[in-house]
Amino acid sequence: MSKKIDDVGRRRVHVLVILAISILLIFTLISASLRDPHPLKPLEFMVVKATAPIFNLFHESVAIVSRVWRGYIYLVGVQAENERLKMQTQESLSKEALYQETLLEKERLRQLLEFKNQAALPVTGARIIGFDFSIWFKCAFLDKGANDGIKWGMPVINAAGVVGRIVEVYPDYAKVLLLIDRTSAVDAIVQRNRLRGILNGVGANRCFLRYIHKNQDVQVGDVVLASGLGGVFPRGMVLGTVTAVDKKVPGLFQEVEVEPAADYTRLEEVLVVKTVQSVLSKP
Amino acid sequence: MVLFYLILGFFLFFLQHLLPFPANLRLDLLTLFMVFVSLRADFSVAVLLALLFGFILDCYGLAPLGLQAGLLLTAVVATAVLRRHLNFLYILPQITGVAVIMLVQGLVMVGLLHLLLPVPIASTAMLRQVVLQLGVTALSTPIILGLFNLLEKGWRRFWLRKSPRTTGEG
Repeated sequence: MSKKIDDVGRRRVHVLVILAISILLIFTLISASLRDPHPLKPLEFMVVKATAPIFNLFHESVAIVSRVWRGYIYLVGVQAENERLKMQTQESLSKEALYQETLLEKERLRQLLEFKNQAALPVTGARIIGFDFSIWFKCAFLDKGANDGIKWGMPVINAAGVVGRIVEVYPDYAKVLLLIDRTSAVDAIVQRNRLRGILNGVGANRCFLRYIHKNQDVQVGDVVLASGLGGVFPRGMVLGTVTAVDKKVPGLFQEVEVEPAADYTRLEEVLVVKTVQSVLSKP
Repeated sequence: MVLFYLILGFFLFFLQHLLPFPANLRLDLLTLFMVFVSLRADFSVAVLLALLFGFILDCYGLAPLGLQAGLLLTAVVATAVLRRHLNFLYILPQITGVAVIMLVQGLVMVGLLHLLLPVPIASTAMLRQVVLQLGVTALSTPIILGLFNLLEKGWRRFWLRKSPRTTGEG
């Protein structure tokens, strides 16, 4: 009996020791990673280097499966209409569905290319291979990194407008802070009347244009552009459109809700602007 | 079994990253995985896996290193505490348990972020997302845990059949 109690006691101590060591380790990690540059950077690089290729592979496989799946969904309608024809041409139709998908991808890339030529900015194309796991932060992972000339602070855009900016660069991958992240802030102007404010993310798929005085005129549908101040985002790049204005909130400023131009739920290919120099230099 | 947990964990990690986030609805697969491991494996194994996957998650996110590890560890500890009061074999305790675990995780996260970041992180929109994630994850717990269970059974059966006999022959 006493042996059993001893075992239970020993086990309890064992659990407490493991827990104490883990908590200590976590706090050490947190405090180390708050330094800039933090000493665990090489370890972080190693983890990303080891796992990102699997990520890429996963991403590619999911893309293929989703392409085939979408093709199949497309075929279901045809099958309902004409069973006999579907049986005869299933193979060719599935090929067609894949072809359609390739065409759509080409169209997207063509739009990006056209935009690239219009914007006359030196850019490099990249694919998004993953998003931040946590819902508390909004960031994305690109399949291009320092080896492709990508540097900290470079703006990331697509044909619709600004997507975010690079906050972490690995040899072959880069991390993008999206415009909708709570820690993102961009100096912005309203296109119609050149009113200036700061566009802040709120964590959800929208932003707020802050510091616009209540007596200033902002209307739903107004386009919000990057002012170019701060040197991060090219001047005149579309940030989003005003979707709601609330002047009844307490305080000096009105609450202006902005829907970002980039659709973050369908983000696949982006452009990284390579020459815009940020006045905020990474220490 | 540790190998199975590692493979399943990595699979879920990649799957979680690839799940798109339309309508801000997210299923916290790794928390459910940690709950499952805590219920099935030794406490030290669960803690080690929480630290490992938490660290990898932090490498891919914007949060300081150790934050996700802290959250997964919270899930492990909370499961260990809750299993004394709730029978995780039944659906309702599973849903309630996971809801409580995620609530505690949310509080830990808000507390840590409040201490670590200069920007207030808990906005109404953000809290709405957290509540949605909590609801979706908690309600899908019986299905996901059932699926993990099936996978584990399959793994056990596969390895028992494949392992060579060492005694009783000849």
